[in-house]
Amino acid sequence: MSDVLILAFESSCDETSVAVVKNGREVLSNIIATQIKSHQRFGGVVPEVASRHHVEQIIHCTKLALKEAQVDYQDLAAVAVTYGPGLVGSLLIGLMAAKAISWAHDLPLIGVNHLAGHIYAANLVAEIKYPALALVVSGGHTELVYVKAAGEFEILGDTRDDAVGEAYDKVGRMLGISYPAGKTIDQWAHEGKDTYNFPRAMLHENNLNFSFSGIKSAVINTLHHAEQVGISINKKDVATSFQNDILDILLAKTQKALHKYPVQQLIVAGGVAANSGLRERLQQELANQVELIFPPLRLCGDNAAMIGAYAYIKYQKNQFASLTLNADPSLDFEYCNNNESLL
Amino acid sequence: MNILAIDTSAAPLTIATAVDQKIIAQALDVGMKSHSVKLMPAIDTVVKQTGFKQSDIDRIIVAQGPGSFTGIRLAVTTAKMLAWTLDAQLVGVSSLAVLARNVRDFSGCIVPFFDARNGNVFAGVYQEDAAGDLQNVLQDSHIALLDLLAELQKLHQPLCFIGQGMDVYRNQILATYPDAKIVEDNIPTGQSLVDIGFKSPIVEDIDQFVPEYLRQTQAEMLWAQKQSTEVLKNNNYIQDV
Repeated sequence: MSDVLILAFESSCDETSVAVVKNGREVLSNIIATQIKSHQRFGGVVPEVASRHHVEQIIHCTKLALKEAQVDYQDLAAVAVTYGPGLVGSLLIGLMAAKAISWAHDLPLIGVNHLAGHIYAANLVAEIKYPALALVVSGGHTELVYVKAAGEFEILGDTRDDAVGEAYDKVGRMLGISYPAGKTIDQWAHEGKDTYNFPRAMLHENNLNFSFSGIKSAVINTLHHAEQVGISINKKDVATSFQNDILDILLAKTQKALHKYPVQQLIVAGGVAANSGLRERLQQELANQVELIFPPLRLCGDNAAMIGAYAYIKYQKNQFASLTLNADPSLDFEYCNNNESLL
Repeated sequence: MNILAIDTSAAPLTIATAVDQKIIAQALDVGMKSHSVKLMPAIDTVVKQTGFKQSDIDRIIVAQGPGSFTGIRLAVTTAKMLAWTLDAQLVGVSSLAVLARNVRDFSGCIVPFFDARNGNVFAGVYQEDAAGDLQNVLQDSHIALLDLLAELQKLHQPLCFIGQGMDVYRNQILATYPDAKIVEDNIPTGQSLVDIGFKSPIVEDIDQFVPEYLRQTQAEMLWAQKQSTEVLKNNNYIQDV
């Protein structure tokens, strides 16, 4: 069978990305234009500003992706695009661009769930063996996903409130770190001491769900209290205590999931998968019981290569979209319905 | 010249094909389904009805704004992507000029507008010249309706209003200009789009082509108020990583 080359678009938040991926496994190009510097002006992503930037970047990224991969339209098998979840205005730009290319060159269109993309970034560095478990951690998501077979996902647990990356950004803001705060907190966490012992929410509950708003409030209260009574705060100790708290929760829930759903592989996906503390802890505590797949940093954040990786699964199953494909900002996987009883 | 013309700047959707200025096929849709669902299928239907292959398209005309931010982004993204990938010419036209072109045989000033909420409109002023072509009299802008009505006084011309949101503003308009002509037919026609786009300049740099929003985002406005001119000069916010 000849190689399947997919041109993929991703524009769900504040990165415009276009990639060419071969057979779902090999990245021929993966162009990413990030708007971080723009949104830093506002302390977070402003949806209307994000949508405007995507329109400015979309051709530039497409042009480079084709050029770097050294391919032309006749080499392509399909066009893929993230259609959710994400910011609707942002999603629509990638969607319109993908539809235009698909229609102009009579190429089949494939709609990709952004979360499936994050998980399938793993296929670009290893080969996913089913069933697998995925821990998806990002600014918008915190989910434990059971990947039963190729393209079959079930949510075992997710966050009741903030996503883990969101908690990092909010605590970061309190510590005076500019958005996005994950990298600096991670760094500080390696330099401070765990002196605050913030609460570990839902740690002992009999489910696989997360909650991060309590710990975020605990950090904020600690900082406010210190300010009021005039005690000085060691920000690095706050960072260490916060990160330890978060990692304890992530590790405990992941352990619990692995216990109930024995798998060979644990895929760690999403922007927070770049966190070195998380990588270290998973390595130390889980490497002896499961094969760990961490996509490289460039494939952890939002990128189109991961969209092309998952699109290949849908291509093989002939799951194509029509030109009526719309953005679905709250797209998600199905929840596993017998989860509670299994625990 | 084979033309494809697109306008989704307000609630109606207009897609047309033309050979030079002669309309061959068009789709006008005022239904409730969103433009993001309808736009590409409508282009497909109209182009195929015409008997064009995709590669037959020589020029794409797009209503570039002002209008609904999402609406103009959908049309502009689709148009620029198609023009670039099909190696066709791209022409951006004012959504307001297109609406004004719907009015024929009126020698005074035509005032097309879109409701921009809170008493504001996107509006411009246009007039037919001796050759029958539309000329811009007052630039398209985001303006309070009351300010617009005051501006129009200086023109000393019979006025014709055409717009989206007429129900909201009709009484205010007629209170100031009792003799003004009000046009209800506010769906931009393919003929209007093509008439303007046929004679408009071709976009030089398709890559940089963006909608005419005529309004900064709230976040950027508030941010800019607090910045020095030095900071405002920098607009290098996107990085390839």
